[in-house]
Amino acid sequence: MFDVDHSISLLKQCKQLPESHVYEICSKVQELLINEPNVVSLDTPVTICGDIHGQLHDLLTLFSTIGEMPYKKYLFLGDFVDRGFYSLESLLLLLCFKIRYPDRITLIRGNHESRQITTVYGFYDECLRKYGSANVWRYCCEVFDYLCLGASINGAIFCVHGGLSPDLLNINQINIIDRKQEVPHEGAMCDLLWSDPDDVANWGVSPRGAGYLFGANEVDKFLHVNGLSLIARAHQLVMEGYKELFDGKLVTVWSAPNYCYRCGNVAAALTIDDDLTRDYTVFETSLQDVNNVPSKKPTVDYFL
Amino acid sequence: MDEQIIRSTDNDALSCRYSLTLNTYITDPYLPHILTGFQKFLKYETTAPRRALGALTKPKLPVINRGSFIRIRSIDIIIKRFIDQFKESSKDGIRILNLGAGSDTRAFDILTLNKEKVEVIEVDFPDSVKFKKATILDNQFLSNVIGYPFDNEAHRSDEKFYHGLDHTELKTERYRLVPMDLRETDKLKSFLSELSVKPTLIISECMLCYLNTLESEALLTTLHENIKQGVLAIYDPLGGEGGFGHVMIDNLRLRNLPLTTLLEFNTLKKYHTRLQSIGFNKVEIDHMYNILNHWLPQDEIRRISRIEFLDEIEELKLLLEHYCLSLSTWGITFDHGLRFNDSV
Ligand SMILES: C[S@@+](CC[C@H](N)C(=O)[O-])C[C@H]1O[C@@H](n2cnc3c(N)ncnc32)[C@H](O)[C@@H]1O
Repeated sequence: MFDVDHSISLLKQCKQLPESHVYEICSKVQELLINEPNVVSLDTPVTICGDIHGQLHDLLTLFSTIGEMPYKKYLFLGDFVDRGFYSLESLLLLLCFKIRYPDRITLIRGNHESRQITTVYGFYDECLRKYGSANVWRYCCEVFDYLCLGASINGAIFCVHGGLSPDLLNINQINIIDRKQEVPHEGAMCDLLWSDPDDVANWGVSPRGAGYLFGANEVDKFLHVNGLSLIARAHQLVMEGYKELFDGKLVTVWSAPNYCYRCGNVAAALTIDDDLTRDYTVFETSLQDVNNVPSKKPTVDYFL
Repeated sequence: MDEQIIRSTDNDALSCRYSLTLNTYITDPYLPHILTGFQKFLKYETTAPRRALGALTKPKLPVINRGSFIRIRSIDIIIKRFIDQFKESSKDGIRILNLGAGSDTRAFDILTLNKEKVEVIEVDFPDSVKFKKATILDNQFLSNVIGYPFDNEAHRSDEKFYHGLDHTELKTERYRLVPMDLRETDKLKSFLSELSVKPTLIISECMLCYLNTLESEALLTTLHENIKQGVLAIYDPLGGEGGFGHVMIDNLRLRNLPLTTLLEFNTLKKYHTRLQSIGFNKVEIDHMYNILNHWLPQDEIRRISRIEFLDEIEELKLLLEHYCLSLSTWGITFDHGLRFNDSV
């Protein structure tokens, strides 16, 4: 029998759930997500978290550092899976929290929540390794298609995984996108998940091969048109965990410490208080070295 | 340090090269032959880990592919410019000396493209040399490339053939595969002293980092003193000043692979000073992220960016800033026209 509290406690111990429970979690979450608009409205106080990338132990550290649900409210900006050793457990834990406390946690789609990207960057392989078939991966990908694309906090802060799109000036335009699909290779939905801020006049070509680079002017324009004061996004590794750009009008939040067990960075989460003040919590990895990872894992790659 | 563990790093290098060919970053007609040899003979090595063979052909992540690509391309560019400048102008031709060559296939390419005036010498541990020697002698194509008579009848049984091979040098008119521990400076000295004087390009691609401070200093000094006209190209990891180097040391300690100089020569400046203090009068250096952006023509950068989506540019940057390429030149002037870091 599926019991969400029991699943949460198993996942926290990094234990594998039966395939039927994964199926159940995914269907239940879909029912919740289907009712969310493309841009969800949230109230303060709320804690914004960036990329997680399957680093389950660090995700647990994040919760224990900032506070558990339902006492705290969370917004995750996507990229739950890929690269780390525990993508499935990290994702399922977040989905279980969504089932348990639907009003206390919001999940936005990142560029890694996609069939194509997860087949290259590890999540597909991980599911196959753990369950011997791609079923579990398929259930999760169905969920990805229902994740919302952004959030707006107190009508003043716009939150998204990647950034802006030349096809979108108004948040209302985002709400009319038909989001229930695989992430396209171009267009507004792709840009929201792939773009990066950069030192360009307006728009630039992204070296990632998808999305755009957008500059301070575009940020100003977008904030002005929508009556906002800040864009909060994730998507880019920041060695210090967070980084404000363009006179503090945009912030990147990164929540995967020692990314890929290789980068040596710290991580951060950003709590927005009722008066919109920004409170950054910086945290380090809980794994002193990869040695302590308690199960079979691939080795970390270097150029040798 | 355990020799077997250091030798095993060549499997990593080979698997990175293989992944590049899988994804069409590069073409390498020699690689399948080398791989066949590995698959055939690795099992006769008593110390080879069982999983090594499977890991060889596993595709790598895009970030590793891009990094491996620039590593290989940058050294290829140096070799090409060296050959272009000195092959015709030097009466006695030129020499390319690859230290810790492992399974590198460049020698075959160089010998195929240059039928005369270019001599290639590869050096590695005796066991690694025997391995490559077996691969070449067992393969008609590779034997032909180095100009060694292929003997079809010699080895019906792979195992007998492998165990029957000795650890001696494989030598043809233009190619030598030399068994030597490069930490044994006396041997290296007498080896070098028997070589004729001609412009020599020495390559150390991810090799120096496995020696400790004293050993590397001895090696560099021996090269400097015993080669009259030299260009030394070194590709090595660089510890940096943040967490990256420490994490790398921790991670590689799991494989029992200590990198003792990683944090000692951890910046471009310190690496540069290290080379200068050996006595090389001209030293140029940069990290691989700059080299990726400065050395490749735009259309080539575009081509490789289109092969795979790169999920994280910052990660590529971080990774590549922690590897460097240096050129030390003495006794000749090398007009390579390549851009290095001018702030070091
Ligand atoms: C990481 S591999 C690189 C192989 C090749 N240079 C490449 O880049 O593809 C390092 C090589 O250096 C060799 N090596 C390391 N220390 C050595 C030493 N003291 N003497 C001879 N060879 C050594 C190893 O056996 C191994 O083949």
